[in-house]
Amino acid sequence: MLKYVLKRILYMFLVLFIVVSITFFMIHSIPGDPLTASVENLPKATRENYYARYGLDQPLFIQYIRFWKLFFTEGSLGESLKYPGRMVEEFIYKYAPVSFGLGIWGLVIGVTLGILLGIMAALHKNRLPDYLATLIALIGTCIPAFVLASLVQYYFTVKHMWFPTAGWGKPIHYVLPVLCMTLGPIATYCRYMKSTTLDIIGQDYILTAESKGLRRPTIILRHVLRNTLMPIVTMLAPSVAGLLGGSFIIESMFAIPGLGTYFVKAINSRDYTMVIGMNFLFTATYVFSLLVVDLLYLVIDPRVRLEVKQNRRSVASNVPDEQ
Amino acid sequence: MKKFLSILLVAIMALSLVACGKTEEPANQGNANTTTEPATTTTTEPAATEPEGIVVNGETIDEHQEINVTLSDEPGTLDEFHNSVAATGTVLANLFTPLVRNMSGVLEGDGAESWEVSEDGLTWTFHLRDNYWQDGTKVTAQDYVYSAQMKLKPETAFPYAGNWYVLKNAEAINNGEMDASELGVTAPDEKTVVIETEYVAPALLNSITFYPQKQDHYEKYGDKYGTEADTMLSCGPFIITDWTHNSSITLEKNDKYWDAEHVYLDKVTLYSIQEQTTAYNMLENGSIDYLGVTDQDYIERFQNMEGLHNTKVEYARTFMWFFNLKDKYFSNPKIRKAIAIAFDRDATVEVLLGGVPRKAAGLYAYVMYEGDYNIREYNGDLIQKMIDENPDAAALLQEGLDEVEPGLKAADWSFKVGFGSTGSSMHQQAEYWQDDLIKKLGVKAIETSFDDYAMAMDNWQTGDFQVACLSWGSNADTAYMLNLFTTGSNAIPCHYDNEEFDALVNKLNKTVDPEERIKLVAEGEKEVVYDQTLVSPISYNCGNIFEYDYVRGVDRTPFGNSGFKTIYTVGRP
Repeated sequence: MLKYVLKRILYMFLVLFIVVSITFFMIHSIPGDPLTASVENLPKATRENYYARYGLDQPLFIQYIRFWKLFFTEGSLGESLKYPGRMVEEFIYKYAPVSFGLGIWGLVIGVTLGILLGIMAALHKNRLPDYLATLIALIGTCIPAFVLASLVQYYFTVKHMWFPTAGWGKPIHYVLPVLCMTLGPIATYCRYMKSTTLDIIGQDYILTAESKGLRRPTIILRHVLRNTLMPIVTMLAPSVAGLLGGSFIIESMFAIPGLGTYFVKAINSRDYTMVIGMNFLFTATYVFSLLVVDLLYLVIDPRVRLEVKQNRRSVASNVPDEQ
Repeated sequence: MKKFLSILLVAIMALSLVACGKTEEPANQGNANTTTEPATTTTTEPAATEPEGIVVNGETIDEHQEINVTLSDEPGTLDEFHNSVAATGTVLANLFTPLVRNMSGVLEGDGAESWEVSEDGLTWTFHLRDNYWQDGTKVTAQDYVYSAQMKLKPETAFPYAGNWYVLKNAEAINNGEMDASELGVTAPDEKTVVIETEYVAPALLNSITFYPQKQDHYEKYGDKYGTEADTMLSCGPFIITDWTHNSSITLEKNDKYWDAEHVYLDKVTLYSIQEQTTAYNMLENGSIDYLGVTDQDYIERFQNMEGLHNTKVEYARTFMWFFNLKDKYFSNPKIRKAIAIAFDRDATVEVLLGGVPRKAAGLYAYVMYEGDYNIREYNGDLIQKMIDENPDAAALLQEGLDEVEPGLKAADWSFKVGFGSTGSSMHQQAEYWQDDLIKKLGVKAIETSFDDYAMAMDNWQTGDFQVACLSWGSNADTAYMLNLFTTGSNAIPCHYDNEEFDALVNKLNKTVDPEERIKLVAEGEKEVVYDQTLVSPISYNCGNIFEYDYVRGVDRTPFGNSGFKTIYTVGRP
């Protein structure tokens, strides 16, 4: 078991290394540099001075080595080119919690409501709660975040001046962005939950449980819910990872100082270090959340535990792909 | 064992969840602490209860003076030496005292009380006034010298160093051939700054802004200077008290500023808003006090709103197509001219751009003056002149094609236009132009390509294009726009490389007399637009500003740099 975990962690670093390397060479291969993006009228000497200051005058491979050297010796991702004087990791320390803190609210509320709605819809199939849930899910899937955000912003800050349009720092600033962020997860998880619940309700063991005379709430909690959680956990991983960069539109609509804006704008302004750093963070979160999910499987699904064990015993040493 | 492990794992998960929950809160809290107080919503102040307040221009101004506006982009850094984001200038103008400030089109001494130019026109002497840094120390001539020297030192890597080459020895210093102390900016005593230029540069104060910088303060923070509000030291009308990155900036009145008596605002909040809809919503609910609106739907909406009025301002920015003279076909002036003539400017301005900008008549916008001469009045409508002289653009194109490649019919010829934007409005415009020009010129096809600005500019500079589209802003120096087309300039890369033209521009750069200068400017513009048609100007950018009726004193002249110094409110509800 330990070996399996260690192996997964090793692979995780390998993936991270490869993704960052690819990003590094790709972003440098796009024509234009941070100065072409912003500065008019540039003499050669000025450009050379600029390149020298940020180490862009070196051959690409040397820059690549330097990147890793800096990373391993100082744990730094380098200085931003668009925001001179600030290291990319500073942005991460400072703004990742903002994006994450906002997103986690949206996700937690959204997933909880989505799951409840989904179960409700499944248990009352083809009745009012089901139609209601389907309607909400449909709306949530169809309306893009920016449309919803515009509507919400107009209604709650202009038509009725109940909330500030933009700004950051007070609890009130959370309300509208979180509201916009919950609809997506509600829709996704509701639909998913409904279909898996229906699936499981039809299983033989539920029939067995019912025939044993178990009470309905017990059946739902013990047998249905636990089994439906499996696919939900799988879906949660990318959702959590997506919190960091996924709410860009909402962040920019409400002027929230999160990571999203930096992530998106870095590419246009050719802020190489920022692009690489953000991609690093994003990949790391994603890979890590996948690992957590796989480990969670071990806990909630006995079958996976068994599989890992058997695999270890068998001659083949490949890591099983549980998904 | 198995059970133990799984329990352990669950425990770890649970702990990490708890840990997440915990770290999340203080992190946000930390953020909140630094940002809470200055973040404002709509502030409704009780109307001043009739005691005699301050009277400005015959009006009693509000007791509580505050203004909220948007900032188009997040400043890269407030360190002037390393910044490459245009929006930063808006903030810096309020924090520092330039030697001379353009106040609504008039140059007034700010850091300097007075100045004079030597007879040969090469030496400028500025006499500083008594002004203080925020920490109470005096602003000295040395502070101005330090700032200028830093900008040209190679190791600073100041992105706009090119604009400063007019100073004596500047280029050599920037190339690393001379020490920064040789720069033509010196301080003979604490209250005098002497600036020497390479050549006679009458437009010196119109083209670059001399801000002071306090050396020991700057060095104390090093690379961190300008990254946060508390690393800044101001000497201008305002100080910066909060900077929530990518969200808002708060400025407050600086009581130590020499002219603090005439600074009315106590507080300015600048919101970094990148989403237009958000900005419109903020204007509508009064979170901000004025805003430029270009969206047709919103223009109508705001026109019907009470308490708002509409002002149109013209900028010295020209939207144009330009041609690559290195290209086989576009090396021919007739082909270039044919396209410029056939171009539908009326529909572009009135329909595609919603009537906000003004139709172009030459390279220079209507707001450009040389001395007392308005360039547009002096040089007339060059584009109309071209059109009148060549009513048949298709025939002119065919003539040009025959010269380049005898026998080539326009109907078999196509060309490519590159755009430095990927936005939907650019696509919309391009589609119209494409259809319209194919019809008018009878060419086979017009290809279009859309890249982000940096990528497009890179292609243009390397000469990998035929026709391209951009907008370019001028400074108050009339020679600036013509310098863009000289050999070696990669600004608007037409790749003209013409020695006679270079000589003309060079002469203009060194000419002082406005009578002489206007002639040279007119001649140069005629060459760029009419004779050679290096560019096909389309329109001049304009701002369509909606402002609440209680706002006064915003400097909207094309080169005005008053910042928030002159703004106040009367009767804010």
